[in-house]
Amino acid sequence: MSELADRPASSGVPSSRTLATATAVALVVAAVILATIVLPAEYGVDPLGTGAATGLIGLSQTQPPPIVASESGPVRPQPVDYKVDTRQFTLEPYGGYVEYKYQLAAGATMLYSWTATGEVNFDLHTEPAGQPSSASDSFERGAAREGRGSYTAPYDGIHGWFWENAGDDPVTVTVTTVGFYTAAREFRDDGSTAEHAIRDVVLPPGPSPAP
Amino acid sequence: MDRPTRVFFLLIACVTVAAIWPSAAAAHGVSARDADFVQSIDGVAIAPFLYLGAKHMVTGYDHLLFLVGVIFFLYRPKDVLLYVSLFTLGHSITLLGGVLFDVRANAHIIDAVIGLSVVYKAFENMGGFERLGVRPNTRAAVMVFGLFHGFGLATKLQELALPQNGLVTNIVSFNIGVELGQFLALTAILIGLTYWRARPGFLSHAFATNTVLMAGGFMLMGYQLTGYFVE
Repeated sequence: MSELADRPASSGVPSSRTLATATAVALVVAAVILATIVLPAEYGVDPLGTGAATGLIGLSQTQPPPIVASESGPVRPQPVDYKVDTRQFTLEPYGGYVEYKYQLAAGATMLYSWTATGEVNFDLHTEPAGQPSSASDSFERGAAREGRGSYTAPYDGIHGWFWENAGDDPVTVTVTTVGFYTAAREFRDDGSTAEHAIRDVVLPPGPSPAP
Repeated sequence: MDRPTRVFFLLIACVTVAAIWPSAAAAHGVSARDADFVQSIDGVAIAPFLYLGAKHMVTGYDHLLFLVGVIFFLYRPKDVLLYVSLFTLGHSITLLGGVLFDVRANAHIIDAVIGLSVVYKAFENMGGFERLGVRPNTRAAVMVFGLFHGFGLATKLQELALPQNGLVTNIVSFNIGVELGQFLALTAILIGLTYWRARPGFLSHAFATNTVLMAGGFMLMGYQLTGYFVE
């Protein structure tokens, strides 16, 4: 082994006592810094309370981003009052289907919840206003007995579900929505189409605002 | 230097390390923005992985502390080359092997061993093994700890869920980037050490400096072991 690759002899060999002291100092300094600074800041582990005293503990706590009212923020004003709609359909076995879609403007949101008495194939899709049917987008499809969520229309048009009963027993689908739509349209497997008037929300009675 | 003075310098030096520690600790790892980028890649991306590898090494204080320890007493370029090559061989084996064969390990444990490598090298530089009357093979130690450093790099990359498409080219690019970053960091460390060695205080401060290095290694170990139990 090359001597030059080792410690130079002139740097000396420390006494056992110096070596032990230095190692102990390194260990204690590391432990103190860890316990007072690093662990509170990194993990929120604060054995001596120094993290709370200095505010370092805040670094380990994830804070939600501040809520700012802006166009891209959480508030989305809507031009029309929201409406509520509940509808029930019976789907015949072996391929009976219904399509039920709401008229939503771009940026309008609805909350929905639907359940079926048996498994149905579903497809949450759109028909953009003034576009051919090939311009339709499908956002969620599958086979299920229920679904719920929120939907914000990416563009003007009608937006809703296709439900199909592939089973051999009749299935009843019940859908309830609340949202900023203006109308709903129903398409049946017998070729019929129906427009549905949507009722306005009846506000609970209370003191009427001053004129 | 008498003992009280020596202990005083030790404390000063340790506090300096402490001062820079929190920001350094927050800076390491792969940043969220880089991680998002890597996950969005599908296919070969040589330059980005070269850059990420180099960046990881240059900002990787655990690797840098170990390198400082390794070359602290290496005066001849030939020896620097030999030891750095051993380290490179070690970490390349586990970086490439770990990712390509999907060998997984707990990142906290690996990083704690990397902290131990710093403590080990500092203890060696302090003349600890000579005092204890043992002479572990220094080359083998650098090589073996190099394996752990590479495994540490591999665990960081595995956290990113790398796309399979172009994986080999990307990992090799990352590895080459690591070596480029190591070369840059080594150059800086060597310039600093060479300047310092030419000054009369080098040998008298060498012991204290390696004690600081050891404290840094202990901190890495405590930091990672706590992470293992907390997370």
